Amino acid sequence: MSTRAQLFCAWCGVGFLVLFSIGWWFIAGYIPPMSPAMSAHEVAAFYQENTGLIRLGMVITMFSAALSAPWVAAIAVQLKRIEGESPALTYALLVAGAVGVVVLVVPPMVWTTAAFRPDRDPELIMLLNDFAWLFFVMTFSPFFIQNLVIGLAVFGDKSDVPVFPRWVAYFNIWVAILLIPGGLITFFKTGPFAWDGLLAFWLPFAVFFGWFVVMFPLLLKAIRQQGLPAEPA
Amino acid sequence: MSTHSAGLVSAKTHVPGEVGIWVFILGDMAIFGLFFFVFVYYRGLNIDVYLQSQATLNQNYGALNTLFLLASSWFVAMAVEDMRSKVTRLAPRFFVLAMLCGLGFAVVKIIEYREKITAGITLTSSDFYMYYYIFTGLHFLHVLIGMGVLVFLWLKAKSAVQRKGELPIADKAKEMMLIESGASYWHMVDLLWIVLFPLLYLMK
Amino acid sequence: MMHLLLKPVSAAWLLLMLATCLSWWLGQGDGLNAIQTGDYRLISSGLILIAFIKVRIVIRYFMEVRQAPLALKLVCDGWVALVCGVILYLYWLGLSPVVVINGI
Repeated sequence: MSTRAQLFCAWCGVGFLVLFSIGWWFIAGYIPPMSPAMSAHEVAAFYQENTGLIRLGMVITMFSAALSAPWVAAIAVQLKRIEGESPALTYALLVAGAVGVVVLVVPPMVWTTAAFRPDRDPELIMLLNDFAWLFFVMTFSPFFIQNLVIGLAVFGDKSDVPVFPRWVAYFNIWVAILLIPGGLITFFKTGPFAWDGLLAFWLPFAVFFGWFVVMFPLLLKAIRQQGLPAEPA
Repeated sequence: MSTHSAGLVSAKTHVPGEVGIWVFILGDMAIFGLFFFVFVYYRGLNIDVYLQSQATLNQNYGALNTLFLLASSWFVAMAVEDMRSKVTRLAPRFFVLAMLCGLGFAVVKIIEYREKITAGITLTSSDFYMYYYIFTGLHFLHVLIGMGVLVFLWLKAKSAVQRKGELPIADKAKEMMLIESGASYWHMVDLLWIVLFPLLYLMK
Repeated sequence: MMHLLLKPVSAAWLLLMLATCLSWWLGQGDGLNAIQTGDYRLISSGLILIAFIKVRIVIRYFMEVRQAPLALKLVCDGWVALVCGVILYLYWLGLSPVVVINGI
């Protein structure tokens, strides 16, 4: 069986990480995140001073987001191997992953809208900026479900040569729980649970990136294992 | 990793449960450690505000809940011991007692939340109550997951009592691995509360 | 039944219950009054120490890390020492009049 397409999909995950970092982090400069306590004029100034970089960065970010689709698909193929005839968790992963792409595509479009006419009313720029940040950081739910179903599927793996080692199940559920604090940002403008805070932003952000780094080699291994010629029964 | 021989063949050293559960437990402990640091640091910046808020907290609820979780953990430890013996008899009852204690914790916590919310104290009332609600809320989520785990362990224990004859050694090892994993998780829930109790309720 | 109850873990449990009652008693009184009476700083430090002694007992006896391989023992003890130490440090730091750590 050829697993070349799967390997391509898995590498798309790396592409996502790299391009996303370049566009969102290094070009547009959204890291460190701007404070939700900034005044409308400060926010508007950020868009006026960095207009070109934000526009360019958001094109790249928007493109990178879709690369997470093949990545999720590659994981889904492996979950399908575990689940066989009744792949409910696999489908849940695919749907959640598809929504995840939307969650990653919409904020760059809103940020770029703010940078589209940077000389408009600062209050309106702040509105767009708030919307993009809230959408981006607070929407943990599809990723929560994504990690949860991976965990549940790996727990259900009863084969002699499991697709993923069992600790991957625990790891994914741990990651799922860590994404939850992002949901609290709507209540705070400052402190660790604001959208630029240690526990609502940095921790889920680091964990989400770390999840790719941990899952990538495991996914490659699982794909290679699937590609091995089946032993004669 | 999954073929890890967690054994009732209790050698001198033995990882309780499966290796994976320790990824979760240590990961969770690391994160809660970070939570504790953040709380104590920000508290130090504005001690008076924190003390004023803390004074409206009822310490008896916190202490009672500590006792509930400790008792629950002990029952679970007893159940695990009983599962290890050749003839399992009491483990299901111990698990039921553990669940009742967990339920006691949940009831006290809900009463406490209700009392605070009806008094108009919410997540945004003060920084202290922000941490109070978020940390105890996340811990409460762990308790709810733990109650599910205890139900699972209770079912395992019941089938261990009902079955005739002993399991083959490999199957018994696998069963003990699951039991120990669930038990270790529940003890961690206890452990985190043991730290939250003085930090939120007692420390001046 | 008795052979079950007479395990070291039961002694550990009794100790934990007693330590909780001790903490409960030490922490009585509302915060603002306590600050004017007695050395609340030492009491608070004691409460933190008691908590982490309890944590170590839970790890060793309930979670059975006592019988675990050395690596797991070290990681657990490392967590206890680190978290307890940093909490005490930050607690005392907060008591001193001027505190500024940038970057948190």
